[in-house]
Amino acid sequence: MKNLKMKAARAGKDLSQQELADQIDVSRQTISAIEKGNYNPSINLCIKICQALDRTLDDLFWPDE
Amino acid sequence: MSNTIFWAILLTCLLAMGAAIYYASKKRKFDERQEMIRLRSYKYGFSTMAILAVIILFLSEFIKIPIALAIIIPLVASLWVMCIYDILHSAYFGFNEKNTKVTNWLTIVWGLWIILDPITEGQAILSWEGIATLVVGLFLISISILSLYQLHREHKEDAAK
Repeated sequence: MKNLKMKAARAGKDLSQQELADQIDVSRQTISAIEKGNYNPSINLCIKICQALDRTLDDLFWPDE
Repeated sequence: MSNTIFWAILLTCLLAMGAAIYYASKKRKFDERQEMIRLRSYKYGFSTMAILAVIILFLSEFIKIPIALAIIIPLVASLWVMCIYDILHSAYFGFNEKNTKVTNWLTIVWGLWIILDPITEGQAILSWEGIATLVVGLFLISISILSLYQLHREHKEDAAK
């Protein structure tokens, strides 16, 4: 399932995928895979993403009803 | 005496190259997704090697296969499977690696040299030794070309975003 919330949060902070990847020490392809729903990140990576985007885990990773 | 010196120099160069590759590999960083992909590719590579080893063992009952070829083919095939899987899932290079294009082009040149060197020295290509050399050279060239293509595809994706 695509993670549009994460994509929107990243766009809201005016960050490219590469810039976000550089901030949290992962590859750009991993950020792309997470946003497309092709990869489920570990909880540690989810926390790093939330910290980089100033959001909570619920905001970005809780599934929509 | 000169033979001994030659082998001593060759061994020293190989050890130095091995040490350089080892320390360079320590500097490469892979994220969790890449690590997962690489573990999966090791599994597929090992399976490929095991299956080919059994096939070659079976074929050796009917045709005489040189021991060098019997070892090289499963090894190169398993490396091939591992590398192709890693490249297609962007887990071949560490995310902190730069100059990947240069590395690929140098590997293509190396592969061509491996293939062409026996020919220029007048060795037969269709001998068992020639085939083994051809297999290794083609492996290096194909992996580098695929890697360059993948880099090009990712660059186009970046530009589109």
